[in-house]
Amino acid sequence: MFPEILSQIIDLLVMNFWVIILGSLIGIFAGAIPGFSAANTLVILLPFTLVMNIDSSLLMMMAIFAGVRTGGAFPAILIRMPGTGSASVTTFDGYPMAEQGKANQALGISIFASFLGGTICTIIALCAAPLIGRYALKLNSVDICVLTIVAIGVVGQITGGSVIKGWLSGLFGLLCASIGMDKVFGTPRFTFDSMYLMDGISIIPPLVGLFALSETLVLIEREYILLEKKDSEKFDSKTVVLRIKEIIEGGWLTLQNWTDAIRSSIIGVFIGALPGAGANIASFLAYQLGATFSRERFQFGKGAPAGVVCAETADNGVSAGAMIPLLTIGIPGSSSTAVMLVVMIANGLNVGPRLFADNPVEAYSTLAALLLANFWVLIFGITMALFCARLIEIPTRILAPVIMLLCLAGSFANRGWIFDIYLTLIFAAIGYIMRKSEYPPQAALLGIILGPITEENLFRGLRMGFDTPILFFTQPAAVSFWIFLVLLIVSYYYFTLRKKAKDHRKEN
Amino acid sequence: MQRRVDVIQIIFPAICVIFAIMYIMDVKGTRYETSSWGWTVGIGIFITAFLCLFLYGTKLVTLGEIRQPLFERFRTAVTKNRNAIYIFLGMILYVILLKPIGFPIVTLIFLLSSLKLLGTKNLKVLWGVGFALTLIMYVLFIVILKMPYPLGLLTK
Repeated sequence: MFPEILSQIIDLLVMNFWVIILGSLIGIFAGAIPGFSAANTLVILLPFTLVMNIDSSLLMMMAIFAGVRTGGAFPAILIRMPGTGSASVTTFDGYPMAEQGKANQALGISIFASFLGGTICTIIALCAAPLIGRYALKLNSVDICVLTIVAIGVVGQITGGSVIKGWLSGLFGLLCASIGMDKVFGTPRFTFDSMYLMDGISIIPPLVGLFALSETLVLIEREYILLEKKDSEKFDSKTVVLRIKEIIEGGWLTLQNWTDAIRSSIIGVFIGALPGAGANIASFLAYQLGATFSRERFQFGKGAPAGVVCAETADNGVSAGAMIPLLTIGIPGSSSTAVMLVVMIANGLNVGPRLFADNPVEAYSTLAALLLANFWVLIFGITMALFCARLIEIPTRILAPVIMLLCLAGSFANRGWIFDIYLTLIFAAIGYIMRKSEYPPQAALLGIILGPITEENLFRGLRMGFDTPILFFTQPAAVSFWIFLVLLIVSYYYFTLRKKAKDHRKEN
Repeated sequence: MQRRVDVIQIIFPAICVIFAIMYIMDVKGTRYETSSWGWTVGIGIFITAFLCLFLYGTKLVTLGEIRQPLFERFRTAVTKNRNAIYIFLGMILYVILLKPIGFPIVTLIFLLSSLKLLGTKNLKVLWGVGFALTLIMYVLFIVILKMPYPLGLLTK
């Protein structure tokens, strides 16, 4: 039985290899456009995927899914403009690396880490999808709420600077996130009686405003993104070889940080499998763990390769993880997988617990396509990196207006509201002030992303415990997450104090 | 040494304090679940912002520095960040004009004026980048992705 299925899967993948290539390419480009999530891209392509046969459309969607995650890192590293919410974590170390003239290495790390994360997680998903799916379903609102508190709880630490400034930024993010209708009871809050704010703030305006636009306003003061301008290079064969070498060096650095890669991959696949959690939590959590346990933990936020590895492996691992609840129990954990579910149902696929039994070829080939797509994304990623890295050599007097326009257009692209562009400008002004006074905008973004998830699950959890928080401190998974949070905080301060004492001893 | 208010350091905490007060006032009187979350976040911000104001809002300066009038300090800051302020005002104008004039025309105007403002002197680069990017954005966002960008004057 199994060899027969395997040969059918291989046949399917060979026949549709061009679909995977095309999907990977579309994904990388879509990911690089700010405001364009995987879900957006899949929705736009829905008219095509619905008329294609089910196998080809599933493979194409998987390839796009993988490509978007890798593509989002390119503008994040080069111009601090994350294409997706989870790619914002890549900016923490990727952009400082680009500023230091290591853009090729940073891109190399992100591409190889994406490949590694995607591959490890897909293999885990292929081997243990039903098991993970069953475990993920057991985690309820209480556990997810505590998990998000773990991610928010160490917000002051990940930013590298003052802990109190990190906290204020994080709380500001939480406040922004609670604008709009209360998710559980539907009470409008802080909406200024505007219909546009009833639905809350979409993630794109703060992402673009706090990161890209405010950074560009600061960038105007400099002549180049690079802190030290290199002499202009001709784009000849020698330069190409040199750049490939630097990109491969990035790959080598990824392998050197293999513990970070494996840890972040595991986080990615498990968080991805939790319905409603998503790539943002996975990337932030993986980064926080890296900032506490990595060998390069003291360099985090200043251009540490391990920081990029943590963010990118977790981000790509989520793709495989997100497929687990969809394929094993028919529950889409994110908006992208919801679009896939629509296509699967429209094509008459028996989505649910019997999918692996009734349609094993489709189920396994979907995951196998992710594996293949990761390979193609690696090839296209390296090719794209060769040309994209030149972007930071363009003088800011030309680059800044171009970035600003892309930011404004990207803010509109998400929902098609001019109001969102105004919001982006407000966040850009706040982000500019934050940067000038050294308040970390990344903490605010973390609050904005995780705030609604925390609040929603908190109130659900309270209802489950009959309006008492007892479940938050008695459920085994929740308790283990609390212990984990305490361990994170304690070990962070332990390592920091130990380093200070070591430095002090050296000075003496 | 004297203590002086550090203007740049108090702006963000001050914004947070104002937002926190407005937020608490807004959630007051709503269901207890909604208001409890509001109170938690609002009071949290309020306390942290005050801590930041206290810790970073003032700095020790020499006597000579403190004698510089506030207006002078403000003017120096504005001159230093003049380009960023002009560009930001340009972006506000861009959004205001987006609907009546239309995405392609207003994009071209914004690009040309901001490139010129930031010091692009080469006319070929100025017009080349301006036209090329406007065309790319038009094709990508309106023709291929069919985004509902306002076309303004071009619709007639």
